[in-house]
Amino acid sequence: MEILQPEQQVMAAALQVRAARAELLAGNVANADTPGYLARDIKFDAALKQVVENGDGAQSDTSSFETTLARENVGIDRNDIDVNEQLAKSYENSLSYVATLKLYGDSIGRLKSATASS
Amino acid sequence: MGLDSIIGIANSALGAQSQRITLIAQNLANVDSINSPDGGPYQRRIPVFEPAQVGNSDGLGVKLAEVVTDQTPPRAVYDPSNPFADESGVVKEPAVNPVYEMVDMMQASRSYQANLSVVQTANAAALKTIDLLK
Repeated sequence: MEILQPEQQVMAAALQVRAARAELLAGNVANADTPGYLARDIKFDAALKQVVENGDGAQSDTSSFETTLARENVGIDRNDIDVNEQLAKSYENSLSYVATLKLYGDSIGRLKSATASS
Repeated sequence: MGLDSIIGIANSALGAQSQRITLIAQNLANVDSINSPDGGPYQRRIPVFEPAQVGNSDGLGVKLAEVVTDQTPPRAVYDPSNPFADESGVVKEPAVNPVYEMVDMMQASRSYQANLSVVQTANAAALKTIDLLK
């Protein structure tokens, strides 16, 4: 029997995808003034599916689900980064990370109290 | 992969933006330097950024790839009393526009702040993760 319930495995995978996405978004903000740099992001649902299906997500290669989104508003320096948009995405991603973390921590806490010797 | 590499990425950008502000300060300071060590008036320096791998993270950091020299011809100012004036009384002054430099500085400052707020966001999430151990 698996110790972690399926929903806990999904939450663990979601945390991994959120962390990987946070890296890409940080890279986007860092390269806001880099000529020729295009925004990079991952599709959360597809990435989550991939990590869950690979079983143990810790070994899955997060770089494989990276996508470069082609954008219309490319400036004269071939850079399409809107810093405000990327910061908003970064906050949103961080909020979802913390929310998932809270749910995950609570469910692990319940597991702990269920297995604690009285 | 992890929250520490986010701080590494943001840190690379903080460094690059600081170097950019340093160059802007240099450009502004030399707005009237008509005799540079390379001969002729000072030419403004322009930073060129390029994406850089930070550790083994997926996100890309940034680095100052090179500093190029602005090839805009110098401003010609008529000032016959100046010892550096040519035979027709024209002094070549640096083609540095202080207004342009100030705007560039504001943009660099904003980019710096944006990266600081990325550090704050990553830090808050990292602290919450550590709280799981409690």
